[in-house]
Amino acid sequence: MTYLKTKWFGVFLYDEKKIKDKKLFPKEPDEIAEKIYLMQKGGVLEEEEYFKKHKPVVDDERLSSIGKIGKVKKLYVMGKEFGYDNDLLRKACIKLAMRKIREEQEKRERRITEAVETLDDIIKVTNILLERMRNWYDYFSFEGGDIEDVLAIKVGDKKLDKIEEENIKNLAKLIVSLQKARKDIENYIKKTMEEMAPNVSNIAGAMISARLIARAGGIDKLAMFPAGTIQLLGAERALFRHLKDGTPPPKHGIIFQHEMIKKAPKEKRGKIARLLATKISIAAKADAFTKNFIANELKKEMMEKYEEIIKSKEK
Amino acid sequence: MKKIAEGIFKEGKRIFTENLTPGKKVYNEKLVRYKGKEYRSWNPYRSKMAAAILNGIKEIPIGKKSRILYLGVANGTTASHFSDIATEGIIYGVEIAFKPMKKFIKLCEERKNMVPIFADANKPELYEAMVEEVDLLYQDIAQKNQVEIFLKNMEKFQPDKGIIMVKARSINIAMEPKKIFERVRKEIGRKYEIKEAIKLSPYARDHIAISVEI
Ligand SMILES: C[S@@+](CC[C@H](N)C(=O)[O-])C[C@H]1O[C@@H](n2cnc3c(N)ncnc32)[C@H](O)[C@@H]1O
Repeated sequence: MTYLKTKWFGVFLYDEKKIKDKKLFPKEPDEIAEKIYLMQKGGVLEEEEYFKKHKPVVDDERLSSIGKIGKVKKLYVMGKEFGYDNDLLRKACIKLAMRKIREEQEKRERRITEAVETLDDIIKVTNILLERMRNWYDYFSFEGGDIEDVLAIKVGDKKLDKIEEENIKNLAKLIVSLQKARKDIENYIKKTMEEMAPNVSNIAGAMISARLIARAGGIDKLAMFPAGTIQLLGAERALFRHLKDGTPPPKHGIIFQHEMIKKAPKEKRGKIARLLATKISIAAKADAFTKNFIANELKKEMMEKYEEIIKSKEK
Repeated sequence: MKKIAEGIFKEGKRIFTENLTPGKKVYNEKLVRYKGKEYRSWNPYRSKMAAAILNGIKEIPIGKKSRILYLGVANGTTASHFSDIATEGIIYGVEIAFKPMKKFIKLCEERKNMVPIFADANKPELYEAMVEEVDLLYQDIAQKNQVEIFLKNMEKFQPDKGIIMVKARSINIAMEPKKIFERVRKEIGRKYEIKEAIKLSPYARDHIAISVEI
């Protein structure tokens, strides 16, 4: 039997007794990192291709075009026997890990989480500041309390009054700019979703899609989830509590923010959540894999089923 | 300061390793000097291996020349102590999340016996080419399928010894930890000889360390 095995420093052709041939990599961290990178992406190296004519036994699916898949005898070789020391491996692995991290960071679908969470924070902060502004404004008027009222406020003529007035107005301006930031970030999320997941965002709305994708870790991941999982994404805590303390199981997570569920009578929400999750799951598969736009048909089917559920007498 | 195992020292209730990179801290641990050498305090609340040692694990399978495959290395808190001990060995640190991996890479730039691997431990075939003979597989991954990951890697790399830090809550939060541990012991015991099983409380709740031998 002839076997083929690739180590970080080269490719080996061997049999039961000895190494028959080998192709060593250049002794350069960059080049070694590049080779491992290719392998991890599922590629075949030219050094591996070279041994194809020997029809070796291999144990990695990646090499199924090079030889026969089968059980491979363990190859006991270490880099240092060939002058490749640990420091070279360490440097190559640092290069490789940095490259793969950079790729990860470049994925917009990973970063969308930050935008969604920023939006949540902006909403929270705006509400806190609005409340504070109204409390402050209450000292000066019997009515109103909107931003425009505050911006037109007149506190008094004393020096401290003037300073106080300026500070209340600053607060109002801060809220105005937060509101603008909120609009901007919503637009950004919407545009991103139209590009990244046109089907899901058509069915579920941009914000819900963004949250689902963020929670799943990408549209590809979301597309792999069964509908039941999608239905409960974002309800993990309630699910834990259910499993641990026996509280009632949650019926929906993030998708609960959808108008269709929010507006429905309580006893029908479970069914509607199920329906919505099923359609999102199909839409996600289209967005991730086929890239076909099928949202119109999906939506039509969904609305028909929705009417049925709403009309039906059973729960 | 008393030596309690190769590269591990104890004073009072605290354990230490000799700092491989004197003057540098890894996770804000205490540095102490003793007879001209610098030691780093090994915090059992931050590192499950330290907890296992303080709770009396009999065999600590790490020495000067150890070659360790570490799954779930995170920032490298525990791995940095392994690196202090295995000065002539090597530690391959596998981590799936990029934020801790970034910190771990920094550490690997300073400590020459550590190698970063940014990968999913569910797929050992992706890092098989980089990992040369190892004598210890150490795993600390709080995932539902942690036992499966451990067995898969044991099978692939065939180290002499393995240690897995089992977190009951991530396997099943509804089940009693005792039952989970029993089940895990059985599952691992079918393949490997279990040498020790040690509770990690009070340092880590509902955790045990299981050590095995091929
Ligand atoms: C409890 S922390 C480890 C702490 C670390 N062992 C220490 O003591 O310094 C668990 C780590 O495992 C990582 N992890 C989870 N699943 C993983 C997988 N499939 N492959 C590799 N790492 C994983 C997590 O990202 C996390 O950093």
